[in-house]
Amino acid sequence: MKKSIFILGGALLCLSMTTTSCSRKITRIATDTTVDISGRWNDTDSRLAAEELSEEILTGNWITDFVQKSGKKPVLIVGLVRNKSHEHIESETFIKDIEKALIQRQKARVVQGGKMREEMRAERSDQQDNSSISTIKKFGLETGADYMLQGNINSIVDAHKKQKVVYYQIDLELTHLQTNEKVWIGDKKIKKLVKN
Amino acid sequence: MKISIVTLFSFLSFCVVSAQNFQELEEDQNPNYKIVMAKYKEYPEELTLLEGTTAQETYKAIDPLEEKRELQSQRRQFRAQRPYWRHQRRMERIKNTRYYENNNRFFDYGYHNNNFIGRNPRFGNYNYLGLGGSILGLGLLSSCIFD
Repeated sequence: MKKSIFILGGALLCLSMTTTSCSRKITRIATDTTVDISGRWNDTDSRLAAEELSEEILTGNWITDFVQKSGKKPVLIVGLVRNKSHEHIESETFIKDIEKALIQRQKARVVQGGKMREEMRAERSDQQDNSSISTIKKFGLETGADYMLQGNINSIVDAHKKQKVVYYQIDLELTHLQTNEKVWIGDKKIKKLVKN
Repeated sequence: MKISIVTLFSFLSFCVVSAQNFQELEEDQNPNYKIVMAKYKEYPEELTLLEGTTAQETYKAIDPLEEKRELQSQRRQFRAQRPYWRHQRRMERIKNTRYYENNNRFFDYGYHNNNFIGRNPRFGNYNYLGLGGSILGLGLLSSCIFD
């Protein structure tokens, strides 16, 4: 009797150990919490870059200069961002935050570009055949951008044995489309020490 | 009379065209701008479609630890593939049984030449010693007959 109870207890312990060790535990955490796992570029870096660059672009003199000169809000288009770092970094995560900040604070107007603009034009073209005449959107009335936002992401890696220092630099530039004049340059620098 | 009218008309048209061209130019605008504009109108989509995207022009950083990890993962992948390659090799052997038997020395009953040149695959079908021997034999036979 004693022996059978002992065996049963052992089996239950084994079962509980295997089920708990194999089960994956997932918890929802706030998006602004800092969690570093591998030491690579992560959401915290993207968020920090977005916060600093948004603040820089919104407080830059280029907006007031343009408003004083032309009497209207500047129109912006986002160009290409080149990732020349050693990691795969998607700039859209922080560029969208910058665009959002510009629109929300009513400092500048942002126009669509790239593939999404092509989609808009395709839809407008479709409207010419399929929509009722009173609701057709016309061609040739798009808002032309005054400035283009372009950027570069660079990195420097210094590794020795089990230690590594990674430095990221994100540079964004705002250039006037008519004159090619750079009216604003913003950067965000991030340095990480990774110990393996 | 006719010539003078034609000349006057052409002069007037030239004046109109030049005036139009002059009106189009902004202050301090380069008059050659149309050449460049035509050049960029030829391939506008290639450049504008990439707007708002990230061009991944990444490089490989010097990181010994990362390299070690990559090599380890490559080795693991190689090991995982090995049974599959073995299986493929077996399947190929089954398909090409003739080729397999010819290469198997166990079934070599000695019908092939057993000298160095005969065994060497470089020399293939040529039996140099056999040819030489036959020539020598013929020579000896002829000398015996003619003596």
